[in-house]
Amino acid sequence: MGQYNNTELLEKHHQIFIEQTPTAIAMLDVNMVYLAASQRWVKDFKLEGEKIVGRSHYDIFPEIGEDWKIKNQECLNGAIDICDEAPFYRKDGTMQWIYWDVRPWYNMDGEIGGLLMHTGDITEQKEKELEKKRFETILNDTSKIARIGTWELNLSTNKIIWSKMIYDIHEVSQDFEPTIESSLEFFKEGESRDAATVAIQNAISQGSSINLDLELINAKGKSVWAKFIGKVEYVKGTPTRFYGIMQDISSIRSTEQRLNKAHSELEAIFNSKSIAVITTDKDGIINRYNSGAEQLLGYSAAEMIGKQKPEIYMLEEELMQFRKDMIAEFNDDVTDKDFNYRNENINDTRQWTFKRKNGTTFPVLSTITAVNNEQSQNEGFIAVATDISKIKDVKDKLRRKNELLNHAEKITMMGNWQWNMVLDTVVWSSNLYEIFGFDEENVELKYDTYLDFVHPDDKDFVVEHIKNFIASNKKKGLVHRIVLEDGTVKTIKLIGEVITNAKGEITEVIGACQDITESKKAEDKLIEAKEELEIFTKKLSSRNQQLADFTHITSHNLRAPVANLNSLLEIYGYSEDEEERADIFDKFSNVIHHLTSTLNTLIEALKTKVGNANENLDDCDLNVLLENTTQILSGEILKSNIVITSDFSQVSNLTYNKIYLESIFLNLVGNAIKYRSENRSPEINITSEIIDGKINLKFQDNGLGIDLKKHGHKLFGLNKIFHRHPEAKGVGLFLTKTQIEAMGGSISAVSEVNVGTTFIINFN
Amino acid sequence: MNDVLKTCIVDDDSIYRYTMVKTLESTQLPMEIMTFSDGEEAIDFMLDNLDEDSVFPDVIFLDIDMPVMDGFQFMEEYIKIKPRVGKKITIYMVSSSLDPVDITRANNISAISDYIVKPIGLGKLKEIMTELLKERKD
Repeated sequence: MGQYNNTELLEKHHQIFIEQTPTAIAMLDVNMVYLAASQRWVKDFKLEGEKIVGRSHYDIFPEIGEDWKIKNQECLNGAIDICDEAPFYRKDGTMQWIYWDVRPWYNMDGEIGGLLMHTGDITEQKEKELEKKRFETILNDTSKIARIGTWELNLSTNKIIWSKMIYDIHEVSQDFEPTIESSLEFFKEGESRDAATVAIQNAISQGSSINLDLELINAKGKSVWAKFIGKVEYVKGTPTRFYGIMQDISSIRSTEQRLNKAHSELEAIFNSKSIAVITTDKDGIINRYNSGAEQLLGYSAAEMIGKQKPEIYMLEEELMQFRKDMIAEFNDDVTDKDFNYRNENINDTRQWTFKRKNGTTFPVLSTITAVNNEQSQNEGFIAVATDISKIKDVKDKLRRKNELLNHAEKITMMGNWQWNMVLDTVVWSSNLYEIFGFDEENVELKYDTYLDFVHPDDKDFVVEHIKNFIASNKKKGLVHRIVLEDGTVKTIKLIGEVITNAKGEITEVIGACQDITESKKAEDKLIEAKEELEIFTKKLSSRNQQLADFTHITSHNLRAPVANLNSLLEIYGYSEDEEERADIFDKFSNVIHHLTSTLNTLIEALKTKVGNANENLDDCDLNVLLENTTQILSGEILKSNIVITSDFSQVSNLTYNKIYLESIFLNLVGNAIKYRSENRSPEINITSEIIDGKINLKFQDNGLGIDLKKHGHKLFGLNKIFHRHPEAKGVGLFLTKTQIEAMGGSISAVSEVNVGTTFIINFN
Repeated sequence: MNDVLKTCIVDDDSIYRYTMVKTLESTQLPMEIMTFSDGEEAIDFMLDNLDEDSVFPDVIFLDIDMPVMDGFQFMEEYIKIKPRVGKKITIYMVSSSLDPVDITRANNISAISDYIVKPIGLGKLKEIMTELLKERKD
């Protein structure tokens, strides 16, 4: 009993002991029923207020899975289950990090009496650890990104330890073993190395910390700017360690430099005299006002900054419009009372009218940008404005010129086009649409649009011409026809020009078209009129020539016998001798006879000139004609023994005034007989031939010949004689020429004295 | 014989030659008249008598329009031999032509004294001859 009591007591003690153990511990029997649990157990597993002893472990922790149950079972068979950390997912959804030690307990008989579980809630500790890990990872990453490395100098051993980043910065391999000397070597000779040397000395001797930006020349010879931060660690008053970080700040430095540059550039812009830069604060008061603004507006910076709002130089109605536009742009709900456009990301460029201090206004192009803080609250505006009065002037001029061009194109019926060869886009001037009767609203224009209008008969040469003109790169005009959609045909004059880029490549072809339909018609009429006029002039000048000839003839051939008559009359007047008077009278009759014959010749010539010779055209057979001539002249032919030969094989028939042609034959053959040479047996050869499409008739003799140098000019004149021949009257050739010319032909002669003469008639 | 004026008429018109001779004779001035029917006959005469220029005429009435050698062609030939002629010859160009071309051309030849339009008429002829005779006496 005592023993029993003892045992009971002992268990009771155990129970008390377990319950009060400051760690979490529980004692279970072989059925996994709680015999005892420490307060800590209750607390760790949040079991306060629950009856534990006598209940099954699995009742209390229904979340325990099969795997754990198996492990418990193994322990009940003598195994020991120890785990340093494991997550324990509770049924209420929380998670606890716990460690445990589960082992069997043995009763006095040495049999397993159950399990002894010792656990610890390490959730808090675990979270700290994880946090630290996270922190370290972040630090590591940051260091890498920020190119920060750590270094350490053991002051007792002088040993240096570098982190990987420092190796990277120095661009040396990992097996490099740095020493104080070798690491100092990396600092750029001069300022940087001196500063580093002093800093290390001071750190060792006085324990002072450092914070320096120094320049390194790394193993690859690259210049690297690095920030050094270091401090000394003391142990019992003696410095033992000098450690710190090193950050590659090259990019920061270059960024800084770039920033400086950008800043100075901005300054330059701000200081520009041609651009006005004006900024306002959140209340709309001007806080920056550059010299460009001073120049443009006439207000000084002193007058404006901190005192005025931009309203002073802006027009009220334009500001109203701007506000209205901004509200419309950023706020769909116009009724929203809380909406303030100032807080939006305004970036607006438009034309404004600014008012100078002297009241005059001028146009500007201004970009207004809102400056907002992180909370999207407006902190002011920046306005950059340029005076565009000149640009406006130029634009106005350009517009006026364009209008003029449009007018000019209308008046001259011209149009112009621009063909961008790269994109195959074409732009037509409005009058070109007009000329082509094409609707401006029509389809997108292409090169082919133009060709579609070209008259089908002209298309080939237009395409060819354009091709050639682009290839030769020369300005060239071309006249062709177009057919409008309604079928109207127009005549167009096209002139193009090739535009090349800097490399000489053709990028654009520009050109002008003129509707010359009317002028072409007029031109055709003009050409027709001109041709008629030329024919008329020719006729007229030939008439004039004939008239001049007549004056000459009158002067020479009528005046001479009249003068003779006068002289004879004078002598007759004072002559007293009857015989002489009879003689003189004889002369009178001679002169009158001569005068009559001359007059008759002139009348005949006049008839030839005035009458229309072309009215009496006959088909003349040259062989028949020659036969008639030889019959008429048979007496002379017989007397002179002249040999007449002819060749009319080329042309045997001729449509001509038969009377004239007979007269021509009679005169020329007669002349050949009359002026034959006594030294030769006389010959005449008559041939017809076609030269340059015209019928020629040639009379070639072997007679006396004429010195044409001396007499050529009067060969065909009236009453011109060249031989002291009793029958020479100077009429035949004159009439021959008159007749030939009346028929539109011409006569010429080649001759050599004592060889012969050839007359050539060219029937036109 | 010095006071006799050797007068030469060169013209193809026989009627003209006749009237000239008759008119000159009617003046009853001392003269010797010779006639040629064209320029070539006249120049041939001169060339034949180059060594004996006393037979050369003192005055020539030269027609323009003539066959074979006209008045202008005669002048061309005459100017060629003129340096070899010791005698002063007065030449009148005589023509029925009123053509200004002929008149200008004649006036441009310095060896021609004047251009006379036919008919000359007794009065004018007498005046010319009297003047020439007077010159010779001086």
